[in-house]
Amino acid sequence: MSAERAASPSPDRPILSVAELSVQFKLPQGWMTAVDRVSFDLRQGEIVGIVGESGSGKSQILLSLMGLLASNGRCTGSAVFEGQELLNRPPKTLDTIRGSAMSMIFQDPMTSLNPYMRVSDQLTEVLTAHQGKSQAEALDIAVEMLERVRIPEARRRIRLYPHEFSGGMRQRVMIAMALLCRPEVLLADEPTTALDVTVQAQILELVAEVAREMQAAVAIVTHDLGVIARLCDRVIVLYGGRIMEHGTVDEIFYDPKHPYTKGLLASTPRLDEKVHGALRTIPGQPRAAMGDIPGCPFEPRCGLKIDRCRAEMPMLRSDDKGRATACHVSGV
Amino acid sequence: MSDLTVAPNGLPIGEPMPVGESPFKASARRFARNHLAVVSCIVLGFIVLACYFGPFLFPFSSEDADFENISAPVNLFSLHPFGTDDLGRDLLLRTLDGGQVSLALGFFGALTSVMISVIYGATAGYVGGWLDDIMMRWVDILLSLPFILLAILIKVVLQDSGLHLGPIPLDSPNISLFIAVVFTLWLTPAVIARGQAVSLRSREFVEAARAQGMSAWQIITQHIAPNSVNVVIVYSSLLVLEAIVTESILSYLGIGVAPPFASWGSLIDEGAARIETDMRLLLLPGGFLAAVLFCLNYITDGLRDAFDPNER
Amino acid sequence: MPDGALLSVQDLKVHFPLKGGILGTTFGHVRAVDGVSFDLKPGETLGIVGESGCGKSTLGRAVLRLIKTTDGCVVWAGQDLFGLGARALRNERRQMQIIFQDPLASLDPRMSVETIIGKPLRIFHPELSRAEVRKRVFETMNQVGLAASMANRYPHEFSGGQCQRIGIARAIILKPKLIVCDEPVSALDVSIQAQIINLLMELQRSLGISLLFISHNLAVVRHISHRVMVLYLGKVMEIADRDDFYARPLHPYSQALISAVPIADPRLERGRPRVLLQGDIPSPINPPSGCRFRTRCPRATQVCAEQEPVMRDYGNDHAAACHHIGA
Repeated sequence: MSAERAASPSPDRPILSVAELSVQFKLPQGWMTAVDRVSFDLRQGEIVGIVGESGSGKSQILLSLMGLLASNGRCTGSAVFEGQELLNRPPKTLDTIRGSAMSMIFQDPMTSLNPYMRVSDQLTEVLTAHQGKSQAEALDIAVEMLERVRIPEARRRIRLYPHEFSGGMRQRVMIAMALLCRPEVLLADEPTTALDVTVQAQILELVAEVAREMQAAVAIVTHDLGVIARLCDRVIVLYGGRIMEHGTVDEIFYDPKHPYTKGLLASTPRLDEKVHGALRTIPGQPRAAMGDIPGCPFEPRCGLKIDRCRAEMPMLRSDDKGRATACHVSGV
Repeated sequence: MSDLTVAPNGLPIGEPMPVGESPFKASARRFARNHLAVVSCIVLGFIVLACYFGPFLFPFSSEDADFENISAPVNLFSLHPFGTDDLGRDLLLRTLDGGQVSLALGFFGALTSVMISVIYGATAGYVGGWLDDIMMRWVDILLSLPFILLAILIKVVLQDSGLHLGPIPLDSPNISLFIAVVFTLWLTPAVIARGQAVSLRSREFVEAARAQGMSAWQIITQHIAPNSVNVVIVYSSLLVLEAIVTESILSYLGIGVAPPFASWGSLIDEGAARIETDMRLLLLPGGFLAAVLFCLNYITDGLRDAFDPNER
Repeated sequence: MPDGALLSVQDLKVHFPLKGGILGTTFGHVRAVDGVSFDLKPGETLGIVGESGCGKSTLGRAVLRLIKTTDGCVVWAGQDLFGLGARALRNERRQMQIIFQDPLASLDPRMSVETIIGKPLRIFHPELSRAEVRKRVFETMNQVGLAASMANRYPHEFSGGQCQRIGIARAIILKPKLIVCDEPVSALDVSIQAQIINLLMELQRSLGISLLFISHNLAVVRHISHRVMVLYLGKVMEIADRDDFYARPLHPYSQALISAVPIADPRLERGRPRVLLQGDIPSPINPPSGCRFRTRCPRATQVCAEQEPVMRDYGNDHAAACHHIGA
């Protein structure tokens, strides 16, 4: 059984349009930029992967879209969902969208479910709040969704508390909860990082399947290139809070343009490799968010840098097919 | 190797970087930012200096009876700024002298208690098992006794018992007082240190130390105890407070310092007896004691904010 | 004991008692490691893979005698490791070291880097002067790619990758024969992982160290190991030479594991056959009867529930424990 990918993305206007999103945090040392003017679109039925290492700001992008930024954070720019601006809205106005039209899956299934509430209550709560269903109706829908995510004996298990589920099952419960209201946009923040390899495979399969079925737009944040290769249609490569490269999954993996993308691909050991010499590495360590610098965030570690790279931030330039790179030396 | 081109803070190497800052220095810096605590330190320092160096400014000693000025009232411009007691002894000078004893007992008592309790608690916590049970049950038993009773018991038993620890006479009133005070103080910090040791012994750097072949004693002294001190430091200024108070209570009860020594406690004892006739005898040592306790309180708060890893 | 083996583990068992009730009676055991045997040659890397509950971390520590074992024996350089007295054991420790998953947690936060790396020297060679120790520390720091100027810094001032280098420096300063690596790169970013993997391979080549490389990442294990051993719920499922293992994995669990790992190659991913397992990993307290893997195995039959399969050799030093090899 091979993993089928969604049909080629619909060329309609995007469901979610992010423009010049920046996220900053107030720390004792001052304001630090975690995300720097990031722009991308999500289209119906498409799975977009956002790949980056620590300090790239990838999680903060999702959190700001859902209005879940920490209290010392602020965001600027715009994120338009179905004609409505998402950023910097009073939280209450976001509640009609969050959990119903737009929902999120988090990394750690242990902490993202309320340990004091039965799973049934947590699931039905979503339905009664957003869709005004009665308790009985909500329960039926919830059980059906649990069966959909392949939890055995769903009607019995739904009465249990989160700690009575295993890690993989908890993640399925969280996915079920995110899908209850048939969202149009599904955001996933490292959904399988905390899981065992065989369980991860099951969950990825599940996410691909339901996303296809509901024709939802999915944005999945991860550091694992393999997950990207398995699931995604398009890829955004993030470093130091900025987009380095953007393209379809085949373009990024087979024809990477940006030195960081190339370095990332070269330094990942592959399961099917036959030759085992030294891995090609990227020197230095991933850039943590620091004060704003004028030049390219990847410059200190880049093998192709020129003087201009330190002085001037390369802009993300796209060709007419949607392929984009931010690099002075190897841009499109 | 190429790892060296970028420093941990992301800037290229070549930028000036701070010298290695130990966690202790980082905490000390945090403490220094707490103005109330720093002011308390200054005030406390001033009191300490006054008690130890002040008496040299007086042309007479605290035992000298000035028969011409018995029970003199407060007159800041006279020879006796705060007056004299009914034997003609200068009150301020007596208070400062008494302060020497109280403060010395307080600080050294606390210091000794900290050292004992950290080693005791770290050993019990790290070794665990039956040794831990025995050691901590013993502490529990001692803790269940009213601490004053304990102190009195020890003082009374040791005093005039003729026991000697090498050259140190355990039966002298001051030494036995010191031991009594320390003995009541070390119990609670030992429990705290033991708790720290229990949480530390499963940490990976302790496992690494075992893998390197360090003996249990080496691990306790080089890894467990230093990492427990953080928590105990916070408690230690409270210990100074307790030491001074315990000593004061014992002296107030008449079984603390003996003449010719005086401490704030014994002075308060005398003053309390004369509370109807001459309040100054009570207020002056009492005031000093209160000031020191206030300072120690703020210092404790400052230390906790700066050092306690749980708070941060 | 096979000739030339540095380490020979025979039927090792580590069971943790579960106590409960008022009297603290033991009502069960967590069978973390339940009869594991393998050999390790000098200069060889054995990759130990498995998912949570397989006992690989416990195994690594048990081999070093950092935790108490329940049964079995470990023969180290010809000696019975468990028969050694405390002093002799401490002496052997200079030959066997460990590096941990969480780089920062494995370093004492109150000690400077120089103190941390130099500690093994001071323990085993107290006769060395401070200057000599410092010189050795600087040399070792150089070997792992740390600037000597950083020696007076403290762990919290370093990144994860650098902390791991400090841990490695501490492990190699006495030139041990064996290093147990417990998920040493799992907590690191991808680009840093590559640096550390290269460093470990380089050090192994130049110092001739044997590595027990414990990891859940099959791609990393493939890159660094000479031989691979697969654990599931405390038992060995398969053990083979690296290339042989990845080319023709025999055990259904190995096949599922390999199939489950996503490869950074979209076309390959689209065309790959997928072996998806059902259900979750059972608890090591009450493992399934017979073959432990049978509750998730696509080939399980009645005999799997009744009889535990034994390790059988299938040629080329390739062994597996399954009733249905070749099905």
